[in-house]
Amino acid sequence: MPLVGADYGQMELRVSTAVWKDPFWTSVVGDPDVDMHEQTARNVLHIKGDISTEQRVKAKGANFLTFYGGGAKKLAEDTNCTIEEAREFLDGWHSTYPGLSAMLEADKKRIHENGEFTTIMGWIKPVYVYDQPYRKKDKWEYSPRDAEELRYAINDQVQGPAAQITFAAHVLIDRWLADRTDALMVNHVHDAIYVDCHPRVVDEVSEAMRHLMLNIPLGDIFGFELPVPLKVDIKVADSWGEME
Amino acid sequence: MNGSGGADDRDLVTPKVLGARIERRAVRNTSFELGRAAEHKDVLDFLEMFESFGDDSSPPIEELIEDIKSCRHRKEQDNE
Repeated sequence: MPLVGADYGQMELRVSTAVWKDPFWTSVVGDPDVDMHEQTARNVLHIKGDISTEQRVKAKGANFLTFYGGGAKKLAEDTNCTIEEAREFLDGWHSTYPGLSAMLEADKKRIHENGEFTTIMGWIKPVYVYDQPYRKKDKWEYSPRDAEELRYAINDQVQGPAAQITFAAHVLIDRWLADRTDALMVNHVHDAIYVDCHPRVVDEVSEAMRHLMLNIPLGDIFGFELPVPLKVDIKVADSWGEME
Repeated sequence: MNGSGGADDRDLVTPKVLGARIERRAVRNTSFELGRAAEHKDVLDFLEMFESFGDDSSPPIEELIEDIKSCRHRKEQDNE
């Protein structure tokens, strides 16, 4: 039976536009006509035309590292470049998005001082930090154990709401499937939902999943709105192996 | 003797709950097992017959979205 997989695209990056409301970052993430990773590569490397796959991969890595934590070493490992090249790219990323970069730094400092943060859904989470930060050049440096906690704090602010949005989609799709015997939800992995269905209803199920996932009334359910639209990618395959 | 502690929720299973579980498991297993042989036409024929026992209609999408909109409001009212 065909599997229909509906996957939220760049969910955490889209949620980040609601958490740190930087206009330039929002314009890049929310532009439906450009690939945000390609655009980031163009911005960082000051290229106007086409960019290579390697450049896009590096930009994608930098975009996600910002909210998942990790530095030049991680980017170098992920993109198969030298640490020096990765460091240079990350410096370029911070220069490209100075507003967002400053907001993230200010947020870390505030969280360190308060020992907690509040997500856009209004959930409060404690953060356990131990050491005094110190000033290095123009930014605050934290002890390794505090830096780890702060990375989690930044990540939680995008991954938490992203997970909740996917759960809401799960509930809606489950209600839509109701008592059908020709389609059954079989899995939910991170921000993707999978339905096993009869070949006859593949189009109907795909369209319903896309529509429901894109039209979740976030304000009514969670009390926040995203300034950029969500994105859903649909894949249909006959087996798990063909899904990727 | 089996080392499990606390109440065993299997004691709480009523015939109705058990029936629902068996039915659900049967649907799931059928779906997976048929999935492996989905290219065989006779399997699809069987599935057609199997489906004729169920209700394959879904509620309107917009109705679902409208319904979930009121959930938060209802919850706040309940809390008050």
